[in-house]
Amino acid sequence: MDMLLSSPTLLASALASIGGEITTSHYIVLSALIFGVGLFGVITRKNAVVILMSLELMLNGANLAFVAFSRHHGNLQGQVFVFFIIAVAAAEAAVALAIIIAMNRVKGSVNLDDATELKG
Amino acid sequence: MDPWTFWLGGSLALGGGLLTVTRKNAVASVLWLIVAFLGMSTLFLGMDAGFIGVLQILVYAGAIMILFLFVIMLLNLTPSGLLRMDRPRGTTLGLASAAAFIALIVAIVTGGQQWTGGQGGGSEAAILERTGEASMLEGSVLDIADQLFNAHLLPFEAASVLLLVAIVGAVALTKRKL
Repeated sequence: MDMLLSSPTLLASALASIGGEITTSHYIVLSALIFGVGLFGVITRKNAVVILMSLELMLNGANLAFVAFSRHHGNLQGQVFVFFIIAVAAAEAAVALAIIIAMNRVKGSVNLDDATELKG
Repeated sequence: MDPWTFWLGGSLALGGGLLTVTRKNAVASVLWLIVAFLGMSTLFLGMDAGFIGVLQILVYAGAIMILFLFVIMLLNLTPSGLLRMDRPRGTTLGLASAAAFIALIVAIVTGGQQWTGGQGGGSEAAILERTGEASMLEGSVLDIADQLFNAHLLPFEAASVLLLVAIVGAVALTKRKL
């Protein structure tokens, strides 16, 4: 609730900081925004391909936070982690797209609302 | 942490992301996602993470997005099927959960001072002072390779096995008769 009440002042300070110094917190807030946009896409879309794209966006938001903290602490571990996230995301995209193709062959649709076999 | 790269890359990444999740046409979504990834790459380069920035373009904007485009073309969705899918559902739930997550992170970041400027250590000068000019890493390939092949050799090999499994799995899933 405090957050909500202070949001106008937060917004004002954010606007005032344009052109000012960029700190680690700027990158963390941006990564949260990108993650939130991806989360919105995952929940609201029905097209399986677009949901997969929103997932990639969420992974990228996390990557941004990793690199920001890696720089903040002067430690390369964060960037190594991002490397592994990118490798896993590539594998995930390949398998998920293969599943979508198989689903399209069986059902003639990539609408996730049509996949109800596992519904109790 | 150049303000210029932050605002340019940040607006590209956020604007591209917003357009990705709102476009009706999946091909338009892919193209806007590429814009978002270019913005992310700008941000990584602005943070001296050159290797990750280049990897972002090569792997994400290059390889993965082309795979998405191929699959969308391959699916050859009929207009009626697309139209049925275009109606978004759960907009309130989506907005609420995204807003809750963002509010949580903003509250954490603004609550503690350790990442902001001022007495916190998040400013450019404080980071340089803490990590030292010489060890500013710059995300060079040499430093990351040293980490990958010494400290993280086992995860690195596991990732290669994972990619191999993914390749075999994708072929097994999509092929009609093996």
